[in-house]
Parts: sequence; C-alpha cells; structure tokens
Amino acid sequence: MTTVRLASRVLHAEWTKLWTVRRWTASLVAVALLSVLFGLLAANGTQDNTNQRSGLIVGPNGLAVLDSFRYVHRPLTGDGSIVARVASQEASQQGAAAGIMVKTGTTPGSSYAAAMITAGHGVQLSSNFSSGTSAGSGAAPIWLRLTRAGSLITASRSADGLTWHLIGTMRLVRPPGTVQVGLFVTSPPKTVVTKTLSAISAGETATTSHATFDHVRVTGTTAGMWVGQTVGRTDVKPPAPGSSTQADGLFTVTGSGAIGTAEAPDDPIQNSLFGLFFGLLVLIPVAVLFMTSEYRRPLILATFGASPRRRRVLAAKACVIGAASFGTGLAAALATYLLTRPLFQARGFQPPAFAYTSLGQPAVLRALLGSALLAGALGVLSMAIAAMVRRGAATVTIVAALFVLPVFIAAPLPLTAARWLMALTPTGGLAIQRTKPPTDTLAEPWSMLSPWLGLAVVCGYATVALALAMWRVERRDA
Amino acid sequence: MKRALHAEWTKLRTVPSTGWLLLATIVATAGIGAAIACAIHLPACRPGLPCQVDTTRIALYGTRVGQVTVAVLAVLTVAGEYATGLVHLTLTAVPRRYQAFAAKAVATVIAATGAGIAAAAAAIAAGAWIFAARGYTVTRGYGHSLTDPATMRAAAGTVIYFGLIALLAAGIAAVIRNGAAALSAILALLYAFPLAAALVTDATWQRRLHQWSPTDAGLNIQATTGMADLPLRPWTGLAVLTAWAAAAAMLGALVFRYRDA
Repeated sequence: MTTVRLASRVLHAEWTKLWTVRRWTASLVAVALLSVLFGLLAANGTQDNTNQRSGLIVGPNGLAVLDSFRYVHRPLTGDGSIVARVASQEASQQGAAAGIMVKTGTTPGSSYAAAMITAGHGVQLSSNFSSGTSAGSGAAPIWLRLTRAGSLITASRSADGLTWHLIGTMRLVRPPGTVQVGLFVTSPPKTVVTKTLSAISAGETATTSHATFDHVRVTGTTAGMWVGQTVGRTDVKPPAPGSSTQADGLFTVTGSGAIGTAEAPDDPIQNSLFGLFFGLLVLIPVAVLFMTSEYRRPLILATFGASPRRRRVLAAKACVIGAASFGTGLAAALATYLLTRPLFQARGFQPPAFAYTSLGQPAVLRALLGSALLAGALGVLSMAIAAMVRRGAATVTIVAALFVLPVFIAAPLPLTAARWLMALTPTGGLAIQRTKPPTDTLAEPWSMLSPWLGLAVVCGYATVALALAMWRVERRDA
Repeated sequence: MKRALHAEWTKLRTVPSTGWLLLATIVATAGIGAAIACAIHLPACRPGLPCQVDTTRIALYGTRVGQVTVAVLAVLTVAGEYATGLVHLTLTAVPRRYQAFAAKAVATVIAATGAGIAAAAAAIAAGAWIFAARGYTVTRGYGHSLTDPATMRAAAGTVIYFGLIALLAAGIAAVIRNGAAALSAILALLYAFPLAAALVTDATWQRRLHQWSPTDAGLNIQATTGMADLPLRPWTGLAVLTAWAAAAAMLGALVFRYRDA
C-alpha cells in the first residue's frame, strides 16, 4: 500500500473518531454558538457617541481627521507652483514635520497635498489625511517644490534648487479655482498612557516644533501678503499656540498639532470577535479529550496496533482537530461579523468616527481568518499537550495557565511587562482579531501586539508542542 | 462520618499530586502578588488623606491564579475516582452516598483552607515587604498596617475564599465527573464573568456581572479601601460566592446520590 493511501486511511480513521462521538460534535456546535452569543453581547452592550462630539473634523473622504498645524500661506489662482528651502528643523518630537502644502482652503478637514521633512522618517508626501508615503531619506536643509495643474499636484525635491527630482504626484479633491499655498509645521501631541490596577487612561500633552524656511517663491497668479495662521485647534491641554515671523525672506514658523486620520482605538470587530474566547473555553476540553480518551480506555493500543507508525497517528489527529477547530472558528467568526455589523452601526460605530468595514477589506479578512487560525492552533496545542501529559485535568490546567491566566495577570502589570507577557504566551494570539493598528490605550493587553506577531506566537506554541509530542510518543509505552 | 472523612483525608494526603497542587497554590498566589507589587506604578498618596490605592488587594491579586490549582485538587478528588473505577470501592466502603460525598468535599475544603492560610499570609507579608522597600509605606499614606482590621478581614476572607472555591469545584466535578470537562466548566465559571463584564460597556450590566460572578463578588472581601466604589460590600460579596458554592455542592450531592457511579 502506498504511503499516501496509508496516510489517508489514518486520517479517515481519526476523522471518524471525532465525528461519531456525539458529545464532541455537539460541543463544537456549542463553540460556535457561544462565540456568536458573546459577540452579540459585546455588540448589544456598547454605545459610542464619538460622532455626537462637537468639533469633529471630517476629511474629504467622509471620515474623522486631525487637522491642526501652523500655516503661512497665500492664495494661488489657477495653475502654478510653490518652492521653498527648509533651512532648519527642530526635530523635538517624533512625527514632527515641516514642509510646503497646497490646501483647498484653511477650513480644517479640507483637501490638501504636502511635501515635508519629518523627525525620524526622512522626506514624506501626504495628501488628504492618508498616511504619508516615503520619498527617501533626507533632512534640512532641503529644497521642496509642489506644482499644481488643475487637481494634480506634482512634488519634487532638490539639494541645491537647480537639479530637481520628481518624488511623486497627488490629487486634490474638488479644488476651487483659488487654493492656498504655503509653509507648514506640525508637532503631534505626546501621549502618556497611565495604567492602574483597574483602569487605563491616555493623556496628551501638546508639543511644539519650529523650522526656518528661505528661498520661498510662488509662481502663478497670486495676491496679497503671506498670512500666518493656526489652522484647526486641538483639545490638548495646555494649548500650544503656533507663531510665525518673516524677515528678509527668512520665515521662522513654530507649530503644534497633527495632520492625519483620527481613528478611535476602539475596534468593534475586535470586540465582537472576542466572543470566540468563550467558545475556546469549550473547544479546549474537546481537543484534550480527543487525545486523552484514547489513553483512558486502552483504545490507544488498538489505534497504534492498526497503524504502528505512531507519529503518523499523531499527525493525523493534529490535522483532524486542527481542521475541525479552524472550521468551527471560521464559521463562528463569519457569523459574528455578519450579525454584529448592523448592531454596531446602529450604536454609533459609523462614519465619520468609524470607517465602514466591508468583508473585502484586508484587515477584516485578516481578523476573521486569523480568528479561525487561532482556534485551529489552540486545538492542536491542546491536543499535543494532552498527548504528552495524558491526563485530561492536568492538560486543561496547563492550557488554561498558558491561554486564560495571562489575560488576568497582564491586567495590573505595567505596559512593558504586559506586552512581554502577551508576546510570550498564546494569549497574544488574540491580537490577530484587531483590524486597527496596535495601541497601548485599550484594556485588552493583546491590542499592543502586531496581529501577525500574535498569531505567530500561538502557532509557534502549537508547532513546538506537536513536535515534542511526536518525539515523546515514539519513545514511551502507550 | 468521622471514619469516612478520615478515609478521604488519607487518600488525599497520600497522593503525591495533592502536595504539589497545594504548594502551587501558595507559590502562585504569593508569587504573582509579589511580581505585581514589584512592577506596578502607584499614583501619589499623602498621609492622612484617603488613598484609592489598595496595596493589600494588589498583594493578594494572585488569588485569581492560585484558585486554579485548588479547583484541580477538588476535581481530582471527586472526579478522579471515576476515571480509575476507585469510586466503586469507595461506595462499597461508605454506602451512604451523601456521607461519602460530604467526606470528599470536607477533606478538599480543609486542604484548600490550609493552603489558603499559607498563601494569604505569604502574599500579604511579601506585598507589605516589597511595597515598603519601594517606598510605598503606611506612614506615607499607602495601605494599612498588618494588624489593621481591614487587612485581617482581607486575609481571613482570602482563606475562606479558597475553601469556597474548593467546595464549588467539588460540586461541579460531582455533576460532570469527567476531569477535563469538569475543570473546563469550573474555569469558565470562574473566568467568564469578568471577561464578559469587560465586553459590555453599559455600566449597569457591568456592575451586575461583577455582582453575579463567583470570583469578582467573592474577591470584594480583599478590598481595604475605596469601599464606596465596590460592586458589593466585602462580606456580601463573599456571601454571593457562598451561595454559588452551596448550590454547586447541593447539586453535586444530589447527582452523586441518585446517579449510578
């Protein structure tokens, strides 16, 4: 008999064992139901009023944005360009930026295109509150140029003002005939996250950064004088007003604030998918019993008698429980997402404060598939530990210590320690359920990890445990 | 009853896992508390003014972890006999089933309480020593002295808490009988409520979940400051856990009595 046929026979045998125990199939259904139920609980018991907040700035794509900075500008009618040399930049704060900008108006949230140098990230292009794109390394002094042709903005950089390199193009959204062109400086507020035994809170302190510009020239139809203005305002205390002076062609600009998306750290998809955690509490004993019940009755002797290659049996068991857990997790995650989305939207999780999240978005797909992978990995991990320990209660204790207890141990720990705990335990795998960027400001400690790191940790645990179990099973009497 | 209890106690005492589990309870409870006491940043407090920082409660935080091994002990004592068939011998020797179950439950509770005394004492002592070494002393407004009634209540309450968790776990194990399944059910009961409370943002429901949860309600007994913000008064909270444990024990006794072994 060929190896493939042998392997498929073992696989089929293990599959039959799982499916024909009615208690286990019922438990797998319960896993999915519990996950969806707790997801619905999360959706039902929540309410977000960010959209009702006054002073919400809405960007051209209909989503909430941050738009506060110091702007020294003058009008430009029709096509033309602005050139400036950033002579110096005080890079006091990570993310501080100084550069030139074309903006459809000085109303916060209006469309813009900008080229800038940043503290720590070289030259960057940014338009319409999307995250910046890199245009190479560089620091002051540097020449920057933005050329407008209708709604198209072309950006160039130069070391000497003579030889120019094209670094990218951007588009304004519905620009009027006359736009504002000028110099700008931002410096994002510093976030300090404080954590106590029961609560976590983020406080922001305003920062300022200043830059000097010279060789400033606007070509095209322009009018009037340069106007220095603080665009937008922040709620950050204490307020850090910007300032700007101009003398003999040298502009000194001091600015505070940030330009970009204003996404809240709250992630409704993550919150509802966390319902899977409660389902996993049922999945773990199923995966454990799938292994230990072989040892409880001497069924293992028959199993190993039927297929003497023990590693193959273990691999088949891992495949079966992994696939069953994955499938259950995927069904649960998909159902949770579809059922809770309208609930969340009705409870304030909608634009402008929250973007619409469709199933096709990479982050949403990652969270759903990742939840299923997390379930699969945890199923394999539980089964592999059971193969080594052989005692059901002991295995459940170990899995609980690895997966459940870190949630509670991390709660009172300082951020660094909590992050390490998450990066070293399978609990970190819950990070894959997040669709937004990692954040320190949520009570869920796994939100600090990047999604892929979290998933890698739990898959790593499952792989190592399975490898150890394979090594043990050959060397020990059944 | 005395002889049944003696028999159960002998079984419990002579199984090597018992000692390890009780030791693990003590080490986990005191160790987690000490680790958190070493790491946590406390806000400023001034002597003479009410301070919201509850150093005693932080020192006892490991109870949430240490309770797992107490639950394991109870599961092994009650459900373990079904796996090996020993339960038939037990019931032949002690045919009165209520008595047999009571003996098991009492033996487990005694062992858990004993470990609880050591765990609570070690955790409070370690916490007090670490906080003092880090400058968070009683004279600077943090916590209470070791002989303060509030500290005594937290310590005594923690010991009772461990005993009640053992009783709760013994009851559930008698109902479910399979070790892995029983332990999973117990852990779900102990840990699902606080996590569900974190899921809902509605304050009323959050408070309700904290009040109904056997762990969250019971652990109110560890509070020594900020009594006004507690979901339940300390002894009321412990009463909620007692109700859970009593209900589980009664259900367990009934199943033990009427279902075939």
